[in-house]
Amino acid sequence: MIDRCGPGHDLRLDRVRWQPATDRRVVRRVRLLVAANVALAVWYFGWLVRPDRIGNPVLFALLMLAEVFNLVQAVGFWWTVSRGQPRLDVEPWADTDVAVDVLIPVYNEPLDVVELTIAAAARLPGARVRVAVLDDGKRATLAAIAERYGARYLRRGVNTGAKAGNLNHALARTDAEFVVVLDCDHVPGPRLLAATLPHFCDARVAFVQAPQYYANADATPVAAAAWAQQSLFFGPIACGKGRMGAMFCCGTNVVFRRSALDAVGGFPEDSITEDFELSARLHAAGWRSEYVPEVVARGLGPEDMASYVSQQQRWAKGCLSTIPRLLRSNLPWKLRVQYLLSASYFLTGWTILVYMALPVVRILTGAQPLAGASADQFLVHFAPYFATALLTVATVGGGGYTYAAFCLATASFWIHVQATLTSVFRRRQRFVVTPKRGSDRRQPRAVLPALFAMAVLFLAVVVGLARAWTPAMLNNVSFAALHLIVLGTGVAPAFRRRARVAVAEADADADAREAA
Amino acid sequence: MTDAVGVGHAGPAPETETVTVTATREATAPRIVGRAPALAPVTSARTIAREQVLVTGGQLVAGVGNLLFALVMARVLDRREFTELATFLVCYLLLHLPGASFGAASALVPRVAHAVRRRALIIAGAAAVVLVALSPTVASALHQPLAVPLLLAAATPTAALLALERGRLYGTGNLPPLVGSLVAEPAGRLTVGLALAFAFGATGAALGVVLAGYGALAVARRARGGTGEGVVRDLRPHAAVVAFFLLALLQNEDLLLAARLLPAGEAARFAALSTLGGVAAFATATVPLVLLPRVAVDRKAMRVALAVTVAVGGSAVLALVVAGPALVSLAFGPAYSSIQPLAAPYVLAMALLGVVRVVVADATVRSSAKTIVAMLAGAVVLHVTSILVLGRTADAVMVATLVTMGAVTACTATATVVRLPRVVEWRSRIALAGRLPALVPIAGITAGALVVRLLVTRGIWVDEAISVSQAKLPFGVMLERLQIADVHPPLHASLLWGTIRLFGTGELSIRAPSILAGTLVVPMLFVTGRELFDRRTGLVAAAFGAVFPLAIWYSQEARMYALYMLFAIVAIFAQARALRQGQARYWALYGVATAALLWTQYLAVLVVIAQQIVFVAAFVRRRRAREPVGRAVVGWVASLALAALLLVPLLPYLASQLGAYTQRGAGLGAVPAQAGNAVSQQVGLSVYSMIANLVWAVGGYHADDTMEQLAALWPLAMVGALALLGRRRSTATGTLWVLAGVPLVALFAIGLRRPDLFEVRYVAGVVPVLTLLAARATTALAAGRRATRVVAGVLVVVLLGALADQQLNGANPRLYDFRGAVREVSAQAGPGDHVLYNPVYLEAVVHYYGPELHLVPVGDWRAVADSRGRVFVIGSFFDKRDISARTGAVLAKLERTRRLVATFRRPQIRVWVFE
Repeated sequence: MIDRCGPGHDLRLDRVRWQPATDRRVVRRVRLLVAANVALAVWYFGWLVRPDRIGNPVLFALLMLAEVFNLVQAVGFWWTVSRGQPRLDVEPWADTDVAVDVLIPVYNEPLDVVELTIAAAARLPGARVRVAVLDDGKRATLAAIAERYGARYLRRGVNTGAKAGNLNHALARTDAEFVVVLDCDHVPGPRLLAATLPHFCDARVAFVQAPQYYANADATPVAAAAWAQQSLFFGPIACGKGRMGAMFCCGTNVVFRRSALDAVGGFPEDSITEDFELSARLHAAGWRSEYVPEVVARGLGPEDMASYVSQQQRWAKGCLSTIPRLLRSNLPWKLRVQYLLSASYFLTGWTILVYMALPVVRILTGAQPLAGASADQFLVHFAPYFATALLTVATVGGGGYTYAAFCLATASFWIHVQATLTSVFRRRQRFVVTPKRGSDRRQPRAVLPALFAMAVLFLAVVVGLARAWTPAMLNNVSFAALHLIVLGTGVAPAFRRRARVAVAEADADADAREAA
Repeated sequence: MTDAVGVGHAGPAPETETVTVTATREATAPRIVGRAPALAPVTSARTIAREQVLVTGGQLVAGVGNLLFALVMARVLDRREFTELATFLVCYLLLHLPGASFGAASALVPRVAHAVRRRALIIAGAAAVVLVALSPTVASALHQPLAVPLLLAAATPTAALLALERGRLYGTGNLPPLVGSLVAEPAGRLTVGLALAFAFGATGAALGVVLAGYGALAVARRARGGTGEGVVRDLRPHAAVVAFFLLALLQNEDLLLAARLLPAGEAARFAALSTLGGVAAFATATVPLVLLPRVAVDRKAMRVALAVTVAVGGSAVLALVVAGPALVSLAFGPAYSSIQPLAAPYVLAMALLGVVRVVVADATVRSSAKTIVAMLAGAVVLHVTSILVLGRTADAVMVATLVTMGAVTACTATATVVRLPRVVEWRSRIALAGRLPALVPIAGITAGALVVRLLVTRGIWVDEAISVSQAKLPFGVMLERLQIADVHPPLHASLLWGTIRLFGTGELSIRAPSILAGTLVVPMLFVTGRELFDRRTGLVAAAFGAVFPLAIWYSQEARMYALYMLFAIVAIFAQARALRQGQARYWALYGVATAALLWTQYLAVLVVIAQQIVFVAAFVRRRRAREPVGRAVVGWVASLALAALLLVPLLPYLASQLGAYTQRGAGLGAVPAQAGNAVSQQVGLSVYSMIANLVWAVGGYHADDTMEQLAALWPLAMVGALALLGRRRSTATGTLWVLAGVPLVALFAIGLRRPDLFEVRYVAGVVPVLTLLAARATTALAAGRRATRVVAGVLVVVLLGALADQQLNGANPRLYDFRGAVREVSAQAGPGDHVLYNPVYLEAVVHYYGPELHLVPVGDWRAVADSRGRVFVIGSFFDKRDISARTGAVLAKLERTRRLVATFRRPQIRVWVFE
């Protein structure tokens, strides 16, 4: 249980227990696995894509769409992670007199969370650091805290453009050559500038991104699963993207060259994922990006299901809405593919929906996508493909990507569906700040669509078992049960209550600090 | 021991003076405290041996005297009267059952005899009064004259007092009067008893027995001494009391249960057998009592006691092995010649009991007494349960007794006797006594595993019957036959050859080696799980192994697969120890286990290959970690060299078999059908066949329909695969995956070319590995002790369900009920009838169950064409087209000349009856 609340102790001050850089031996192993994956994918799809396999044409088309989409995502993943490490052989940054603006946008986050970040930022070595607290929450107590640490306190009259608007407002009032953006819960470590600034020796580099590290990963199951997903991204995926120069900005722990920001007009205020959009614009304008596989700041991840859902909804909606612009952009093909892979990841939920629907349809109507193939033939072609792909993820993730993370991602399928529909129908999108402290209540409403899917799957299982115990029926019942188990595991944290004592203490502590 | 007690005293000493042992011993040995110790510490092994020999001699004389009395009475009295006397003797024996406990107590603390004498007399007197009051009822219940309960009442006071007084003499070391008391009893019986028998028949003989008891008591009572503390003052004799009572139960309960459960003829056979066994048990009964007061002060006493026990027990067994028929005939006459094959094993069981008594005597003086008592209680339960379950014949009761004695000897000796050499160093190094309580759970699980394995529900099948028929041949002839007609190494056949000579060809006898080996797999799973992971995983692995359906199936089959499993797990354990500790003995053990594997089953080479891969991987990993590998590589090479050396004698045998196999062009035809092919479109081996075999390996044999349904659940395995995401990689778990995966995949690859070789029993060595993996998954996925218990409990229940389906469901494709079918035929067939059978390799199994039947293979059906009697046709293996067609053709021909009057089925067997 998190004991951030404990007097004088904050999890973000604990030792970092994660190393994002990938071992060279692991990269070699991954490359071998990728080769096997490619061969087995050919073996599977060579068996699957045949006219005599078509059962129900509609279902077959849906299955093929899902399989091809996932194959494309998988190939993109294999391609990225097999690239290895980003550049590490950079000269140290010599100019310690260079000015750096550290911008900390704040909205309504607890003051104790923000204070530590301000304090750590104010002590950053390696440059003339000027910390600015950008308070959209307009709290006088925060102004006092900023003053205590010698930081500037900036407040807008009108909160337009959400986080991007806040940052642009600050950019207009600061002038350092480099700009560090830190989310208010990310406590910078002393190596932040030493690790990032050297990359700016290359005048084409617009920004240098460092990993997001969740110091509260052990606090709740949701935080643990969210961190497992993050660690896969900021570990091997980000390393691969960094190697290709395709790393995009992730909104925090990032250092910008002011001139680059100025060149593209600052942060785009028309997107709820301003970081992703900005990166694409910078890359399209010919700037480069770098990734530093070193934890230089420690933050907090979502601790409860509602926070996680909120975060995922924002990411999914923002990234999916970028796809049309990415398709129209003049990015180099490699970068465009990388951006499209990242953005289209949030379509994965549709494939999960298809996979869940197929056994349900088979059980209820008898219609099935495949024909002319027995279950054992399907198994012999699919199992090696599945197993090797899974082994690759496990190897790439170095044990960090967990079953719980997979289940949570799967149980979030509906977020992708919802985000797609929102983007397609151009519904208004709102920037929602991810809560920095979890709720102690059960949150079934946060997973309602997943619960509905579970109910349907359960019904299908019951109907299937009531209808027949033939191998074919049991096979489909098993598929339905498989999805049921995975979804069940994914939504389970929404039904757990955090220990009230710790939360109450945390809240009391925060209130006390604010009052002080 | 002597080094520490050399300062003990023989004379009186102040009450406060204490002679303590050294600090290292204090934790495990009771404090030797001296206020007038009745028995001085003895430093000469010769003296101790002399004492033991003296008392054992007296006991032997007493035993022979008692036997002589019984034999004389058998000739003097008529049959009815002798039965009456025998009943009285059984009741007299029961009366003296608790006596062993009193004897042990007063041997340990001689003043106990003085302290409880009056109380014992009052209680015995009260019991006698009650018995007299109830004598009409008791006499009626026993169908005996009134004199029997009355005489028993008269004997009641001697039961406790005699034991107490003799115990006092053991404890004080006053042995001549003790020997006098021992000898006085048979002397009284043979003189007074004989005289009274001539005068009053059975009642007189019984009265003589009672009087002889009083005579023995008088002799013992007259000897003085025994009011002191004894050598171990702070030891309370409760553990010894309970332990020796349980030992007395163990010795006698089979006779009592046999008399109750068996039909009259069988009960009489067992009674005769028990008399022989009783001689061995009786002969060594005094050894632990002499030992008890000595064991705390002199370790040599224990060695001497063991030596005397083994010598006496071994001599008895040897005598029966060498001259069994003559001795049995001499003792019981030709009417009981049928017990001759059972005599040596039963006497062996009683000899083992003698060893157990010595071990128990040693243990009760130490802190391990509770553990030993628990083990004995477990043994009593096991013994009673196995007799209740299996006890339909005297043979079965004998096997139950032998297995129990073997198990209890192994358990108690492991717990105690291993300390014998260099006891002080052992104690200081490992504090074994402190660890003994930790062994109780695994001892319980092992006992449970043995009980489950003894619950055999099926008769023998083709392969077992062929093995038995081969093992009946002279050893040389058997080996020659195996080289020509068999495809397996000769280790199991040799073991079976010996088993048959010792125990006969009963179902349980021929399966005893497998049952024993299968049971030993369970503690090996425990130690290997503990070695690779932790104690909890070891216990869960043992619990799973105790009920793992496939492991039980092959533990109940008179074939080599239980040994295969045992040697495989021993090899894995040795491998783990050798790699971790590097000691030479583990490398040697690995070499021996590997050789034993290949002497058991040639396809164990797949398991050995997997183990070699593990070795190489371990060396590579060490090199990468810059750890030294030189010594380990030397050990590895030495172990391989040892294995190779042990395998050299197998090579000519293998060459002969290969030659014969090539000439034949195929192996034995009795390959059971594969499951899963029905739902596959693939010709030959399918992936569903592999899944079916995997399910078999874990969940046991089930009906084809069940297997197809289970195989269809494969998507659920994806959950298992996904659940591995994020799990930390463990070298031990990875090793187990290699040890399980390599043989299975290799066998699948072989099976693609030779489907008849794709058979889960050929990789039975993988079953313990799968058990360990299941246990590891349980302990790793279930957080906390309670969760582990719940998950493990649920899995054990699931496995028990699978086990029940495997054992009892007639649709199990591996269940061939030849026993039921042939016994049915035997019941119906008359002298002039013939029995045709197909395929030809059914001959052995049909002959096994119906040796009196006139058997003819279907190929020779014309031989029965003209017979006037009925013709029975027994057929099986109809899933093989040629066999089915051949049987059908013969049936059609028979129908032309005869009338089909009946047909019946048993699992996998069909029988037609023609007139």
